[in-house]
Amino acid sequence: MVVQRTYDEINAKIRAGNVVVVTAEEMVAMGMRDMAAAAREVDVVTTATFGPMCSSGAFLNLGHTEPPMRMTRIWLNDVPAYAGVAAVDCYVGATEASETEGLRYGGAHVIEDLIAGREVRLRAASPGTDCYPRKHFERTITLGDLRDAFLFNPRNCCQNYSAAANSTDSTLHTYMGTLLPRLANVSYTTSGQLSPMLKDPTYRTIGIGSRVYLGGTEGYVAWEGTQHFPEQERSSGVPVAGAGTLALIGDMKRMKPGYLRAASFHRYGVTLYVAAGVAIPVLDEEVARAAARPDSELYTAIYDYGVPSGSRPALRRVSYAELRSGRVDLNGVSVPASPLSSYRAARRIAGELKELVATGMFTLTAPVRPLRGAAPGGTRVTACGEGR
Amino acid sequence: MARARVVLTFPAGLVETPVTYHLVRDFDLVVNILRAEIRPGEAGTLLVDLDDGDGRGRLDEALEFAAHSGIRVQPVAGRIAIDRERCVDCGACVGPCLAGALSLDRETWELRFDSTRCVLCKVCVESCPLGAVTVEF
Repeated sequence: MVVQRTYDEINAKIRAGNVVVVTAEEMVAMGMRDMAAAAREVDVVTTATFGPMCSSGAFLNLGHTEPPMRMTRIWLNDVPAYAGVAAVDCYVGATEASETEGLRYGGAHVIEDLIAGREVRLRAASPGTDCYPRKHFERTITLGDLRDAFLFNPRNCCQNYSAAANSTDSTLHTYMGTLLPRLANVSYTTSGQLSPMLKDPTYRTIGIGSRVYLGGTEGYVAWEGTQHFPEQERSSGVPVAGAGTLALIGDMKRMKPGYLRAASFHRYGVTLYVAAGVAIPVLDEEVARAAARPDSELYTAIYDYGVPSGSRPALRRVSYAELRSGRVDLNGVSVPASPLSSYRAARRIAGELKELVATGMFTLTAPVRPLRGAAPGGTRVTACGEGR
Repeated sequence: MARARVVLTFPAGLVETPVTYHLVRDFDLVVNILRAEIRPGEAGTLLVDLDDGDGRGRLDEALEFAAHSGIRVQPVAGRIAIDRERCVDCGACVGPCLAGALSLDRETWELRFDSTRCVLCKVCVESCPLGAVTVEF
């Protein structure tokens, strides 16, 4: 029997409290060979990731001052925020470094501090205009003082990401962590079989408008992420290197401490660990098959970061099962492999999302428009006929 | 009398060089190897006590020789401390820990620290993006 489910049917089950939801890890562990049976049994599969996502930041509206001010330069705890928008709007980027603390403190820390309810020092400057006469402003703010604060991350949830090693004679400190000389270790950064975009590799269900679990609360897919590249080489439909990405948006005021964590990579700089979860509706057997794919059937390539070029050579293709075993074979030598994204946190987030779905707190949304490069069959064609 | 407890980190190419032999023979040092983590073809680490044997050996010159040979020489003091509140169990410190003191539990994916294996090379301190690893004195 061919299984076909609609979003409405799944949401009805969620509301009725009888939805069958499992995490992607549990879906893999079920080890089902019969995908028609898997699709019959499971309605929703939850996925998650908790890794460093540099392309993150927040739009803040600081509220008007008296007399009013068109803030043309803004600092939050000495971290410059982009003020080239309206009078008291700004964007604080995760990787922006403090002018006084250097790489130890940056935009990501400002975001973490605000969500944790901590005070942040706001400083603003302006040349002054007829309508906005004020030239200087300084005060301490908290998230509650802000009129609006929403996270807008131009590129999150990278579908896949290259692993890294270093063939040179000296240690490299990179955004892929510490890479010891002479290929002595490998680092990688996706949650493999738990990773959202690896479990819906052809974007059948994840699209623009999809509700996601971001920063411990509801968020949405705003657009394809920057550098979205669905054309990437694939194995059984799954990209074997960086491919799809998501631009995510969510209300910072509802986000929870611990779900966005500021980090600083030695001699690289500041970044933000972002907790993101996606619930995949099992529309049919094909969606089930992709969501059940184990680490042993998901691949990436190890690149030599010792070559200072965008076209650095790939050393070899590797499965996530090998990477997650903790040791990888490189030129006949077994070397340690370690992740930068937390599998433990990803598992917890996928579990929380499962719970939210199971208790009727999180319903699923069909994409308003599919991501560029999406396989057909995931969503209905929109009213204006540009479904895909 | 001079004494030093140091961690010697060998790049992969030097693992097969008999450094200890040179320290003993060429510099008259009393060498006590406390811990060694060496795999052929990989970088290796050696935690050693070096003693000049009441002034007979030449400790400073020996350390200079080691550094000159491409070996990283780090004096040992203190111990590694992990702030569990800051740690997110990402694993960024695990791969660079050649002593194998840091690992991820394959069931829970929680960071584990085995202090008996730690050679205090402190690579984990730099490697932790959350700033959760420090050296306590």
